[in-house]
Amino acid sequence: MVLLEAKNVAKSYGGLKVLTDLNFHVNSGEIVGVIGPNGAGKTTFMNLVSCLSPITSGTITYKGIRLNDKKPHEIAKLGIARTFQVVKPFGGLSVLENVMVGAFYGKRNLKSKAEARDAAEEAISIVGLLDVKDKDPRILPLAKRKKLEVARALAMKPDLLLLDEVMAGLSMKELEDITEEILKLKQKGITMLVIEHVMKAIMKISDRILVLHLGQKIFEGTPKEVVEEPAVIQAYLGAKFAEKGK
Amino acid sequence: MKDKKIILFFLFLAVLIFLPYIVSGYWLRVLTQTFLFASIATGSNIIIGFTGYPAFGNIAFFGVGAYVTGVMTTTYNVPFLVTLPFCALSGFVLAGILGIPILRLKGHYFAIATVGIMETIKEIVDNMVETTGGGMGLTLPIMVGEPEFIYKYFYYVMMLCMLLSVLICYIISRIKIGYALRAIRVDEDAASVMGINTPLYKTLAWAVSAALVGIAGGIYAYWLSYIDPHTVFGGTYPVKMFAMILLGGATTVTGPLIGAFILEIISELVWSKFIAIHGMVLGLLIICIILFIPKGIFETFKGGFSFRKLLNNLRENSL
Repeated sequence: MVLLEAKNVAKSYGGLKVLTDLNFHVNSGEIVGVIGPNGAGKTTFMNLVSCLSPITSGTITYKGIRLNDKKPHEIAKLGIARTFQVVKPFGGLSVLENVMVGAFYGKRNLKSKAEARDAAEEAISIVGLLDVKDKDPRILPLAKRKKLEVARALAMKPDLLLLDEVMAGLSMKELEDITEEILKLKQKGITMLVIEHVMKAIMKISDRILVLHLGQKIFEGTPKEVVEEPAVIQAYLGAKFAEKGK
Repeated sequence: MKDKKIILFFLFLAVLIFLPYIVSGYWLRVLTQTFLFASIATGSNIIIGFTGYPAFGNIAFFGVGAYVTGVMTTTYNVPFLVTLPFCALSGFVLAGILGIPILRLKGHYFAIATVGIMETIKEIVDNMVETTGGGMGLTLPIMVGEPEFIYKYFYYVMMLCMLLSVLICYIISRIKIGYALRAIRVDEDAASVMGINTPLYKTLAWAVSAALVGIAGGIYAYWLSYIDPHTVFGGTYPVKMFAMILLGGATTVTGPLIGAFILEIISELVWSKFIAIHGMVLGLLIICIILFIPKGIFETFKGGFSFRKLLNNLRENSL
């Protein structure tokens, strides 16, 4: 079943075309990776899906609902949650309270504080942040702040999770941990669209990969097909990576 | 720790309740003025501190409240206490309507827009001569009774207004909407993708804030029994309100209240000792607060007082 579908999606800022004629879909239960060099339009696409930025032309539908004219908070209520490339914890609120915001206002839309706390603790335990739940997130290391972003999104009870470079800047051990966590989330039935530059990880977790370059889709296929595609090698991966991948 | 804070608050409250039977009329007046500022600062803190929108011109609603009471008591002979819900309602509705376009602005732009609103309303009131008395001001009916009774009456009414502001802030900080406002303060994009209807919550926060400030304005008008546009729409109120919020801590419930008490008492002492240079001393004090303790005394001195923390704040503030 198609969960998210983009048809002829374009985004321009004045005369600058950031995305051109993008056609693409995500099936329910899949993990779809989005790769491409900086400036390819990956985060722009995520901003269009979460309605933080208006679409110039084309349509994006989610569960058959047109998203073009929606507001970001309406998207969240439909079951789409996202993380940000630059982590955005709510300083002044503890880790637990940060995640409670997700439980209060996401698809769950919980009313009572006790319910929100329970839902937040569940999300925190999934990403392994229980030991720092009462801390101010501003003092946490990057890896934990990235996990907090994921926990906040999970507390919203999403059907589609958009992960924007959650692995950037992490150590090898942290990368392995977060990769495992993403695969566990897939087992729970959460569909994911993952933007990532860490090739080893994206190849491991993705069912399919979308490759963007200069705002256009240059390829779409399985990880194996991606590393063998000359256009992708030339635009992004480089010959060395393609050799290793084989 | 939490219990200790609650006990301290109720102890403080008990002292305030019994104070009129101990102190002189002069100090009752000073304390009533302090309650007034505490009400304004605490009410304004809902939009300024909790939501992160520097509504520098929030005093506009104080003026609106003052004129609602003024006009209702003089033109329509409505009893003073009956006018107060209308003061709240006028602030709530006005901020609710203005909030829809104005709250699209952020930071300095929003602050300047609120000053613009304050000046606009001031000019409107100034020109509605038949209803408001214009620049000549409006004289309200004087309360009948013994001076001592009148002093105590306004002391308690203003205290109740302050407590109402604190109570509403406390409730907001504890319920679902409080989490939304604090999320908006830090990052509006992140808040909106988490499902928070940011325009709605911001407008609601400003409307509640304006309602509380409006009530304070209504009480002020009847207390002084004379108002004019230049006093109630501006003057030193916006600067003092901001300084009180910053001094006590913008993100806390009781911070602005404590800031109001400290600054008003200091202001009164400075005024009595250095009457000629009172404004200058107070101005310097406000600059020092912004430079050395911009996060409030509680946040700055969490682990105890130290000069190093003050210097660190100064360093962080440098351009």
